[in-house]
Amino acid sequence: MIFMSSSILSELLGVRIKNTAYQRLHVLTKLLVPFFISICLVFARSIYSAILLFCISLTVLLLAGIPLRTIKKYFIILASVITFIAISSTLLTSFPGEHIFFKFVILRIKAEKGVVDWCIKISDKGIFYSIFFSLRIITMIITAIVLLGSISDRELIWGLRSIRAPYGICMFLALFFRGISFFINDFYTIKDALQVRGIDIDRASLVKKFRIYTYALVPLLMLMVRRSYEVSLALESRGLKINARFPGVYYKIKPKGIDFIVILLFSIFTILFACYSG
Amino acid sequence: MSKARNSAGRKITWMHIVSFSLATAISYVLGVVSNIIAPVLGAPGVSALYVSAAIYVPLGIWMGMWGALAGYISCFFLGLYPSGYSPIQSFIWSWCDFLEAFVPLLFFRLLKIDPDFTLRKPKYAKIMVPFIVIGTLLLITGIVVQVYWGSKYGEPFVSFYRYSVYIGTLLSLIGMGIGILAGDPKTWATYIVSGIVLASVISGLWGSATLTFFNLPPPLPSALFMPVFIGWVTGDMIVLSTIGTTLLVTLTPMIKRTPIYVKGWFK
Repeated sequence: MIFMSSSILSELLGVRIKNTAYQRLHVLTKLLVPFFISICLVFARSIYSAILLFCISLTVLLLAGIPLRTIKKYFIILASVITFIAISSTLLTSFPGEHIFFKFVILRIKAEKGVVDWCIKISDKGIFYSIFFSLRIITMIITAIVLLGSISDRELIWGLRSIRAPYGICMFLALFFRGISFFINDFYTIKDALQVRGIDIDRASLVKKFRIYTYALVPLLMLMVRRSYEVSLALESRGLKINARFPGVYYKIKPKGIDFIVILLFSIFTILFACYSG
Repeated sequence: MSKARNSAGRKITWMHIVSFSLATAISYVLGVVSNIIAPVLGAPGVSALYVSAAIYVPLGIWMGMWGALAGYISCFFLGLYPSGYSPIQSFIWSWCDFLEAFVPLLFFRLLKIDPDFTLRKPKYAKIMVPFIVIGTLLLITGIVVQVYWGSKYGEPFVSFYRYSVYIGTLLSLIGMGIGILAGDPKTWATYIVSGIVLASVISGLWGSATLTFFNLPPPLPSALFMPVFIGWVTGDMIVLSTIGTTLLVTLTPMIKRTPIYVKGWFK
């Protein structure tokens, strides 16, 4: 029996994800779908191929039951990247283009072997270039959301156990995901302790914040050492060997027919996209 | 005898695996925090004050390859969330953090230096920071100006290049000299060269290049290489020379007494 465990994205952002047919696919399928889209991104060279990939990734996102508002959490990243792409195509790179809509010279330096112009230039080619890069980056972000929104730490560990991965690797992954919540809690405890002593991190300037974080890191690292010691002692005392393999599994996750169909469809799409996207 | 045993009789234990997992988790959490406090706008995952680097670089010196791998895996997850890179892009890009921790580790292990960060003159460790950071930045700026404009247009770019390289080298050398006087000369010289300057520059080169030139596909336009590179190197150098140094000075004697300290590469 397999019960739904909350995805990594739910754990990190608290996003509520629906239990759709996509979510019930085998963990390998859910790893491969974003991987195939990532491969397709390499071959996206025109605006049309970028639009196609954007639509496919959006469809997968919706099929996975991940709410569209999750993209809003990436708003600052998206806004800053798109702004900088626009700046780079107007200020840092000069696209000749067939139509130049606007040109303004900011700085002109007369050098030994010619004149260096630094100008703001908006051309048709520059606009296309900005749209193409922006679409690609949005698709990239959606792919990452699909990956993190469809797999859970438990599924990954079950997957590793089902392929008889050594204890050491499974334990690493389990402790890594557990460790994130450990350290977030520890960080807040240290922050509270600093506030009790009259140091307010939230209102401090960037330089002061920087100094405060330095003070916070020492106890954080000390806690890491202590925890490592306790957990490793517990593991040693249970007689577990790092290289040992699990003798049996509690949960069996077998790929179904739908998994093979989805993998096959995405494989064919990736090959066709690589051949005809240019 | 177990395969994991080496000639010295030491072996990989649960302590290594557990501390590696927790080090990865702590590096990831701090990486996310750094990206929230001081992001390099336009380059997701790049922070002007990447505090996480100040964790895995010392961890590399203390825990050997485990520290470098912690840097890699934490950066891989940072690439996925909150940066939003695709798994392939993140897989390629994340080697920047591995290299950042690996460079000082390589120097310390190949030169067989037992890290002794005991401070004899604490003030010197503070004074060296602005010299090294400003000196290296002037050097990089000079080289950039020469590569982009000097070689093509000649004067006045060539003169700018010459002066910035001369002044930058001088300032960096003064900084290194002051740093060496802070404590054990071998440890400090190796750390300043490999752990502050080379680690930041190599990691910055790989990281910025894989964001703008070489990736499958590069997420950012190639024109953004220089702003990202300069932001990356500056941030990492400041963080490594201040927080990284503080952690190494404070925690090295204690860490050396615990089983997480690795004398070789893995054990």
